Amino acid sequence: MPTSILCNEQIPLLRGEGRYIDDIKFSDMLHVAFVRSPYAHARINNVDTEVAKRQPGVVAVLSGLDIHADIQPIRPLLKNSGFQATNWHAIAWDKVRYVGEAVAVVVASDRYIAEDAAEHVIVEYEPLPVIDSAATGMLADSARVHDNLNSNILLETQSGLDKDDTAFKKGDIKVRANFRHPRVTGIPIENCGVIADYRANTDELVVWSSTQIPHVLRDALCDSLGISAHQIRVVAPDVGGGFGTKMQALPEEIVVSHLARLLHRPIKWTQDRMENIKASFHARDVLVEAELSANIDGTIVGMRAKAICDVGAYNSFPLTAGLEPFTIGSALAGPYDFEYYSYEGYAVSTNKCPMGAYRGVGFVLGPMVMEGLLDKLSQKIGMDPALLRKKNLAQPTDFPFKSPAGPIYDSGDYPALLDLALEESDYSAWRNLQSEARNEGRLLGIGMSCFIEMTGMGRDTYRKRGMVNVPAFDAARLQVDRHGHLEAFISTPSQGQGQKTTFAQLISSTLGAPLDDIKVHLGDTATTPYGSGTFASRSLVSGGGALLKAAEMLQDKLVRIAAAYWQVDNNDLQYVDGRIFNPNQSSEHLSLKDLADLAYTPFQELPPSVEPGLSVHVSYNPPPAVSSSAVHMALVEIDKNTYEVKIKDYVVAEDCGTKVNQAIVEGQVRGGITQGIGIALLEELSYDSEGQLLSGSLMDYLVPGIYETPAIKIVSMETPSPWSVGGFKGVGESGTIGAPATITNAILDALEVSAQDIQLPLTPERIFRLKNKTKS
Amino acid sequence: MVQDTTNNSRLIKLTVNGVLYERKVEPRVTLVDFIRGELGITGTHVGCEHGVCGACTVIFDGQPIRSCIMLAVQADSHSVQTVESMSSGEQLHPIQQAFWENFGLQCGFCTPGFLLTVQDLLSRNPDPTDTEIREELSGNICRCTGYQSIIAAVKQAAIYMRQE
Repeated sequence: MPTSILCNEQIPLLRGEGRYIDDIKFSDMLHVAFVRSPYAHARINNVDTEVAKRQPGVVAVLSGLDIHADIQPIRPLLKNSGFQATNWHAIAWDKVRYVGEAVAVVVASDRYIAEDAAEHVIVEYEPLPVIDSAATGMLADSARVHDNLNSNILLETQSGLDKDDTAFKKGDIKVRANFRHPRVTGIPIENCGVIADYRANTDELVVWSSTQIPHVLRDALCDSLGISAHQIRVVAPDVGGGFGTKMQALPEEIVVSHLARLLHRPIKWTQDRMENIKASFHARDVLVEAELSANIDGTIVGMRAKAICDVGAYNSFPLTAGLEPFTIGSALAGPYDFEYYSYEGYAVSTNKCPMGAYRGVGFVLGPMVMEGLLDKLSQKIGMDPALLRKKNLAQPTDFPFKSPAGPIYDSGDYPALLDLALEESDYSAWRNLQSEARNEGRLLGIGMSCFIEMTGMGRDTYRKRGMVNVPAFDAARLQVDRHGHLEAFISTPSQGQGQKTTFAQLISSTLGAPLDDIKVHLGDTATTPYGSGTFASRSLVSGGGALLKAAEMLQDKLVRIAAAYWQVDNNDLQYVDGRIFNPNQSSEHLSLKDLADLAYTPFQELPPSVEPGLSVHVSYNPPPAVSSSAVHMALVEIDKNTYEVKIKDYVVAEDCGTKVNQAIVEGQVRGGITQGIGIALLEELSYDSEGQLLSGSLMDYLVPGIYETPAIKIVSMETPSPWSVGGFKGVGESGTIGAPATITNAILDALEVSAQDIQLPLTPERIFRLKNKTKS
Repeated sequence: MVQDTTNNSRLIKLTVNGVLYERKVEPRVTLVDFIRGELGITGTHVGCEHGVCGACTVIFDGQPIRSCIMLAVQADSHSVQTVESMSSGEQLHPIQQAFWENFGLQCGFCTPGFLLTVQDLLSRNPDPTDTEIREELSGNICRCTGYQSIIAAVKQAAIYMRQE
């Protein structure tokens, strides 16, 4: 390790033999199309389905009222006094609260017919005042998204506000700015999809979904449909990217499941791209107002910040609207050591698409805010930005390090990581290039950001946040069959991150078995043990941790079987490289196949404490969090005439603890940075004041293509976590966390302006305004 | 697959991956829905249904096209190749092999569109530069890899194919 083993699970995908949701079909399958609200906020006075029902090929048309009695609303909970729960009906029946909310569903023999018939559903709406932004929603006299709630604020959280702020005031210098992260979404190239099939012979509802969280989705379906978990099996087949946007329970998953039970036919819904952009899960849409206090020598004294998150119409399951404000609150201090920190965060409901997770979540705001303020401070006191950072980073001797923002970081060496990035980028050469460029009147800028990513979070963290719908542990079942071949069943499924290969490598290296003898199963609640699923950079830490523990238990069992066979003491034996040697006869050993034979055939007598067979199941509660760290540096040039940004060079120094597969890690980092480039320069879901989405296609919502994405140099350090099994730290989101700040800072540096009110993405128009506002 | 409720279907003849198919199809059915739904050849993926992402790229009479914005009836008497045509038996096509060896894919959903676009590129330009690769692949979106490994894969594929 960390060998870049190729991913065998990719071979069928390369040959066009993948089985994604839309590739699965049954002979008697029906298809659905949803009728969606064109209004952001309106009362539903009537839904007339009669004409639609009469269309040839239509099997059923149901409105919200038709299913109201049978389906419980999505109502995730958060144990926090500042939280307000919301009822999200899978099909709206009394009111719609965002454009794209489902108001009826059409079931037909094919999708074309279903969509045609959907046009014949006549809905009478009575428009209501639209809460178009968090700022509006927070006003005391604002109209309400939910009439039954006290306000539009779904969550209010604070940390450190009760502290005496004398320390903060003591700082010689204050710098402040506002940072606005756009409303974005993940755009996995595969849209969401679900097929449900009720099987009467086993009283089982089988649900195939492009979900990141099969077990948690099953929990959600139980709650909504009022049936037991053992009556539901959720299967995630090949999934074409998730990035967090597929970790929320979709209303459509619930409706399709209900229809399968109602009609006793397999039902399929494949989301189209317009639905994906308009009515699947959005993310971020955050304003952070922040102030940094520092001494003239560059020492940070304190930070205070306020985050306002526009979370759309409903709490999403399982994370709720608390996701962004909690994460931002714990992320803003980053890798820096200082005294004073106070934070308040608000999740405000509006008449927009509900908010879910997307790669990086509030951690993206960490460097956006802190690194932005640090650059402003460096300009103010005339200190080099790299030096200023070095002065304030937590030291390797500080671990476990309690961040001023609250969380405790396990390990790392931030100054060494910064040095590595400076060296790899040849920072001083970049500065020379910049001087030359400036002499020529060109706009060349350098940006950097030092940041951490809290990953693989365990039960302590979710308990503290009050997130009761997330189990926060994962599990692995590992078994050896009677021929000595291995199978692992793990609760963290793949959306393309190469888990099957990574997990097989872990098994191979711990049990000394060749990779060809190992099969990894993911994404099926009927075969994998219960666990959280894949999100928040947790697969390797949590699923991999469970797997390593299972391998350890299995080794222990193998030793006890060998001890019984040779009638020796357990302590005299060791399982090494796939075999155990006889302590009394060094030429004699038992291979994994021999041991499997002993475990499965009745001829070997086993002591009562050793169960026959070779199968172990381990649940693993990972540490509260293990913190990966990274430093990103970018050299960008802005075209003087068009204000187009060209990323000329991009360097990453990263430390994600013990690695298993170097190429997979690099793929995560590069892919993450690409999504971060989208946030910095291109991607924005914008709404007008009537709550109409203005960027509902990939012609309007721009994601980075191959032109916008530079070659990225990656250099690595490995500081194994002392807290997690295996020393692992997650790395799935790191790239997305660092890139927006790095590119923003490089652009500001190129323009020679300091951060005041930064709104991403920095489109040519916004860069033009930044440049010229400063000059005027 | 697609039921004709309009009695408006046309008979089309279409060669897909060397096999001639004769089917009745409604004029409104897209080529990709026809290939996937009617013929059951599902390697071609639908990513955006508006011609932006490139996941549905197929080779149409030797040219890469977006099968989500072409109608099946327009393909009457023409020839289409999908990703399934690339490998022969167990053997991966050199482009597929190079994508695999260079981690040029993660989730694999956009991959068939990339593979076919690259096949077209390398048939015209056996030794493309980085700039040329970027130019040619600018119509395909990948959300996972960050493209760098795809560029490496294309260069590797070019070497493999020149050696053949």
